[in-house]
Formats: sequence, C-alpha cells, structure tokens
Amino acid sequence: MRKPLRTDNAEVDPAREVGADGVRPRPAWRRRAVIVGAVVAYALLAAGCRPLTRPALGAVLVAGIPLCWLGVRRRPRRAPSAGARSAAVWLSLLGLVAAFELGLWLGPDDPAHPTLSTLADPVLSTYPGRVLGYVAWVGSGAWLVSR
Amino acid sequence: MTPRAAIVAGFAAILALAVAVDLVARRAGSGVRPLSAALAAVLRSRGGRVAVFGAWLWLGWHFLAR
Repeated sequence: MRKPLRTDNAEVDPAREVGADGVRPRPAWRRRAVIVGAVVAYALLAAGCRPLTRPALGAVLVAGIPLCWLGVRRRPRRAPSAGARSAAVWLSLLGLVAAFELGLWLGPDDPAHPTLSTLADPVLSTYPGRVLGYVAWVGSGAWLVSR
Repeated sequence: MTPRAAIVAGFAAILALAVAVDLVARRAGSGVRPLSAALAAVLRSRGGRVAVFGAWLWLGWHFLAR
C-alpha cells in the first residue's frame, strides 16, 4: 500500500526551517527561556542598588529606556478592539486606584495614612523584595513589548 | 480599625475587585475583555503605546528608584 503524498507542511517543525538568510530561527520555548533568564539576571544585579540612590536610577533607566524605545517603535500586533464596555470597566478601576492614591497623597503626611509606595517600602528595602520588584517590573515591560 | 488598616484594606479590596473582574471577563460570553486583551487593544495605536510605556517607566522609577 502506497503512502499518500504529503501536500501540506503540517508536520514540518518550524524550528527546523531555515530562513532566507540561512539562519534557523530559535524555537519559541528557547527564546522564552532566554528572556526569562535575562530578566532574572537583570533583577539579581539591579536589586543590589538601594532605592533613592543614583545606581538605582541607572538600573531602572538602563532597562526602561531600551524597552520603551522598542515598545513604542515596534509595529503592534493585530488585536481586536476592546469595546466600550471593557474600556469603561477597566478605566473605572484605574480611576478608582488613582483617586484613592491621590486622596492619600494629598492627605496627612504621616505613617497612619500611607500611600501605596509607602506600604511597599518595607518590602522593597530588602534585597529579596527588590529582586521580586524588578522581576515584576521588567517582566511586565517585556510582556508589553511582545504585544 | 486604625486608619492605616483601613487604607490597607482599601487597596486589598481594589486588587480583589480587579482580579474578580478579570476572572469574570475570561468566562465565555462575557461582554468585558480580560485586562491583558484590553491592554493589547490599547497598544494597537502609537498614542496608546506611548501612554502605556510612559506609565510603565514611571512605575519603575517611582517604586524602585525614587
């Protein structure tokens, strides 16, 4: 019995395909692992800088400016419109957070009325807390760039 | 309840509300899209990208460097 001729490329592994420039593209999982590794390595280094210092500002800018540049310049993926209802719901939540935070910021400046950043300070004053903070921040930036 | 405890509870309630909205939005037939899809929609335009990345950079500066 003869095997049917294959007329499609459904079983071709995209990772094995060779591009026009002769270079094989990296598989998605490997690219993802490289990004995760880079984010964690950056966070471990950057968390060595204590907040309110110039090294900390440099650590934020050294990752923040390139990611912003990439994210703004990159051609966006096609995504369906969110719709008026979604926009209303999410903008209402954003407005609620902003109003709550602004009320605290304009209110009494004492430990009894902490803003969100004041509440985060005890966590971010420790090295493990800063590692988590940098992972969350740079990870979210990398995710935004990929959209 | 002290003012500090009330403020912490307020932030926790807003976070819980956001998580609940996102979970409801992921159910089939929901008229609201999840946060990730809403953000992806905002990022379709150049202006949206500038606003989102500007906010993201400000958050990093505010919490980690300032």
